[in-house]
Amino acid sequence: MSADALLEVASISAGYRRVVILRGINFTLAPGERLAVIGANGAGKTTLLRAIMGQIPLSAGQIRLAGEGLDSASIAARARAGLGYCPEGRQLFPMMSVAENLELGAAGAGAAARMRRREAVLEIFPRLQPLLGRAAGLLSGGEQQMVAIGRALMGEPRILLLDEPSTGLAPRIVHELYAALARLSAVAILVVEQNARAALRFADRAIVLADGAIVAAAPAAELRDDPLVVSAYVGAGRLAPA
Amino acid sequence: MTRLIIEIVVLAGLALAGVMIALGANAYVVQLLFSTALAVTLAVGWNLIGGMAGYVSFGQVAFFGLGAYAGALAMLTWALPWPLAIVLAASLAALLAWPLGRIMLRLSGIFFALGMFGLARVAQIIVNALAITGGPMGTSIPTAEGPAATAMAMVALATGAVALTMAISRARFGLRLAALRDDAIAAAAAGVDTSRVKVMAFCASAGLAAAAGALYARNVGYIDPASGFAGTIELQTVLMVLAGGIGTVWGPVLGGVLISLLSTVLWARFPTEQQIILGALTLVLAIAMPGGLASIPPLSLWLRRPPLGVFKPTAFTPTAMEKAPAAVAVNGESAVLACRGLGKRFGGVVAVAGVDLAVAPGEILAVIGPNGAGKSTLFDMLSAFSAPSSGEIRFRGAPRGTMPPHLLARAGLARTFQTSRLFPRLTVFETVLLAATSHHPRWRDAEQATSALLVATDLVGDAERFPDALPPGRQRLLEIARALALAPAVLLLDEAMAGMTVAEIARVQAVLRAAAGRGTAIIAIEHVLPAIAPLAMRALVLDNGQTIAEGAPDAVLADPVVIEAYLGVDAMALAS
Amino acid sequence: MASIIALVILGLLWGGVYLLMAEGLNLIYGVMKVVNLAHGDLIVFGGLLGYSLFAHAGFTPIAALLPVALVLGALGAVVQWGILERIPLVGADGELRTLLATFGLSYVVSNTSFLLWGGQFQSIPFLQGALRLGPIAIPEGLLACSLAAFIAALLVDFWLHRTLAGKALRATAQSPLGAASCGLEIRRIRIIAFALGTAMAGGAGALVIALVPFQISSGGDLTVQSFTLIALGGLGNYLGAWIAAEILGLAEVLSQYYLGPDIASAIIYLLFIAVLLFRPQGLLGRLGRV
Repeated sequence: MSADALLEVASISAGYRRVVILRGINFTLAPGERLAVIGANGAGKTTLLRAIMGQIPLSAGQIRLAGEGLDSASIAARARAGLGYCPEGRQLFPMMSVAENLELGAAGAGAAARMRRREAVLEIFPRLQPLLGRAAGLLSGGEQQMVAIGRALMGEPRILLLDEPSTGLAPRIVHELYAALARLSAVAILVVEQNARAALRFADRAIVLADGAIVAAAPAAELRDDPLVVSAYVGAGRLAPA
Repeated sequence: MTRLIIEIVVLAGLALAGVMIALGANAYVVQLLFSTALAVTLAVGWNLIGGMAGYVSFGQVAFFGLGAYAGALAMLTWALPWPLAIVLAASLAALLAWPLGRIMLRLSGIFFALGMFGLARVAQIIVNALAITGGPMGTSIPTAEGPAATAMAMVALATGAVALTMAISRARFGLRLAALRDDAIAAAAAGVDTSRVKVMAFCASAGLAAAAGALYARNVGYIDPASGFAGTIELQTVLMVLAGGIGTVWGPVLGGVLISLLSTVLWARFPTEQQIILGALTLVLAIAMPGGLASIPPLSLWLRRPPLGVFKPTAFTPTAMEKAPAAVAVNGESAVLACRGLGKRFGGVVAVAGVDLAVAPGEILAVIGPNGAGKSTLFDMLSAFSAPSSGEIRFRGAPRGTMPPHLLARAGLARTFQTSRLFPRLTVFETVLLAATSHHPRWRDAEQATSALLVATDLVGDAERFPDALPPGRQRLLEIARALALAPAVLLLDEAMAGMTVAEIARVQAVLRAAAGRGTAIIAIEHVLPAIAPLAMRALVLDNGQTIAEGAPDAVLADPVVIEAYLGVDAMALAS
Repeated sequence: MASIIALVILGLLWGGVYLLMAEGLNLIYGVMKVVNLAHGDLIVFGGLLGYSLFAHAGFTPIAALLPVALVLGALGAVVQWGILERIPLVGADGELRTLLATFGLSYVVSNTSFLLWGGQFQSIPFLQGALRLGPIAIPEGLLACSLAAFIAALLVDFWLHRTLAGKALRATAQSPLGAASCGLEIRRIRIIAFALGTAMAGGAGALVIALVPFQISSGGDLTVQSFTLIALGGLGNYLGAWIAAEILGLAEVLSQYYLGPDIASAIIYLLFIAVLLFRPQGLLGRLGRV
């Protein structure tokens, strides 16, 4: 494991009840790095994020944040330690306003810091400015995703963990979303994606998951046209007409 | 089989011991025997609806009180002999439970539990207000014969109640109850008439409680609203089932005996604290041992529900995999399932906006589209789990109308679910058998069809396993097997191949090809096309609830509109 | 005519009392999706505690409000921390176990009350005069309780919507995972919510015992009454609960007057079952939920 790694995932295995989903996953994330985790539905991508956030216990291995083991820390403790999590399904507070959603993202900070961070988030997602008073549940999918990422950024995380941010979004919105993420500089990003194209264009490095194990890890640019990715991603059959 | 013999011997032994005590022991012990047998009857009766059907009730005491009063009045006003009065009371309660259950069982969880509590209070208020019941003062009933007779009758009733649950747990009805409790929607998709099954369990439960109530009144010779509808009875009943093992056959018997003896001891030594202790015990059990005594080894091994169905390997012949009933065109229509202008809106959101679709027997149609395109909503409408806002559905040559999902399943429309809906407490064999019994009237035929399907889906090795022990891909395989057990004319697959390994996908493809070869029309939703492409004869692309392309898979994939909307703009560069 | 106006006013004021008793249950349900079946028994416990403070130390119900609420709040925190938190919230199994646990708890609470205070009806003579508005007389005690209910409702509403702590509570109700991702310790928030709910039940009991005599077996009825109210209002819905309380108050007073006490006491249950069957989503649907 490299000494300067911000996040170290060391040989972890995890699953649900009697079914093991992840088997011996190993990787690191450096400060400011952008890592994409891709793979077919059911490959274990979401489970990996859940394991990192402590939503499910590890059956083996360890996860370290800046050298410190996370072990049995609660989800909230991990969030406060610098993991900004945008879970599956976005998990916004649908009946609260966008402003309130953002406010809660920085619940631990003072009022002044909250205002400053909110300005920063609105700079990244200017679309949200006119929507601040609107209930989050009434926004479009793209806007909701922006609120979710914005809320995670309000905690000034060291790492942003994104679970399939492009789900259900039109390609144009996906493009806009990733363009905004590309402008973030201080934060490392771990993005799990079904939409491999978008993720590979955005990331520096990528990991391919299949059946709960890493089958490839390389700079993202190398993986874009790799036939291994194609087959791991779709399981069997063909990807698209040649 | 030996298990059944052991159970019968144990039950007969208990009954015999009861009779011996009733005939030989002193009055105190006979009275103790009576209250123990009463407790067992109540626990077993409550378990039918609260445990086996999964509808926890806090008002079964209503039927106990009803039975007590009905029995008392039948003896007093019509001078019926007491055994007849008891039968009458039980029948009356079971009869009344039918319409009541039809209404109340539309509720579930806390709503049903508290609704029943409310019903019990209404019954108490009514009895309190009527003149014929003696109002708040109650009514006396003559008790001519000694306590031995009623004690023996109570033992007989308890024995009958246990025998009834033993029989249910080994029959088609028990399998359906278990499925209903685990997942009512999946049970309906497997052809189970869930409302009928639960109402029947409710009626049986009510009848047992009423018979117990009538015997109780006969035994004490007196009934008033406070004792007939006592909260203590409700608490003790729930506690007995919880302590013994909710939903098991023998748990309530064990809990009934133990808790009723414990209550008697507590009543003698701590009369004022008795209910605090029983309440605290309920609380502690709910936290620490929700499965009751039946969940601790080795009892868990002995009291486990006997797995149903026998694998019949010799039965695997091509004829066991029968032809889909719709292989022949009906009314001259070539499509077995068709819809026109099908739409669905949730409030202001349009999920599906006017989709036309048709499949012919033996055809495999792929429906693809990005997440949120309306694919699953379309399936819910086609399989009658949700009512369309507009449009028409035709199935096997006739308008489908508002057929309930279980009848549609029996008529040959089977489906799987996007996130697997399996029954945690049914084995792999039972899961498939459940659906097979919806199609085959004879148990043996259902077992044969199940065996054949397990062979075809390569699940034989997992037959005795529970679904949560299977990896995700095999869980999906099991769902497909369950759907195919209905020998469907149409099979709707909702992302059935997501999360499967390459070997599993190959297996599914073979099974689906074979099914299509027998005349089953298949509509498969997939998020990505490749898994289904090699099979599909036609593909339909949905986006924003509308069909944006339809045709041969290759042609559809080359369509720029599809590439733009579904695969995203940058895929165009890749494709060229 | 005057009698009808009087009945309507009485009904609306009783609605306030019902709201007071149901608010705690509503809060707990809103945040945890747990129906506390011991709720009514906690109201009775609070009322009888208030009665003891009155009988032995001369506390008026208003003075007893705070100490009773504190005791019940502490009790609630212990219950949530020691009992309910040990049961997973998700899944049918969790719901069943929560039901059984709070069912057991209701017997523990009501029979503890029985041990401490016996089985008689108890009441506190307080504000027994009546306010006269022409031909209409309004009992002062009822007015005070109703007023207290509305003030409490407004305070809770303000707290939930205007303070960060209140927002954290609502956030936990709307998405526990989302709240945890924001660094909020949802376990602690749930303990606070449950304690607040039981404190409100206790406070309500301390006030209402000046109005209605309590006896230990009243608990079950109060639970169902409160549950009817919040179900009619749409579980966890504040505005809905308010409207439902008024409907219930009117139904109770009018049926009491026109149909007699026997039928009036059955009306609540019939209404309850009808609500569950025909309007399970509550009067207002999703509008105004926590």
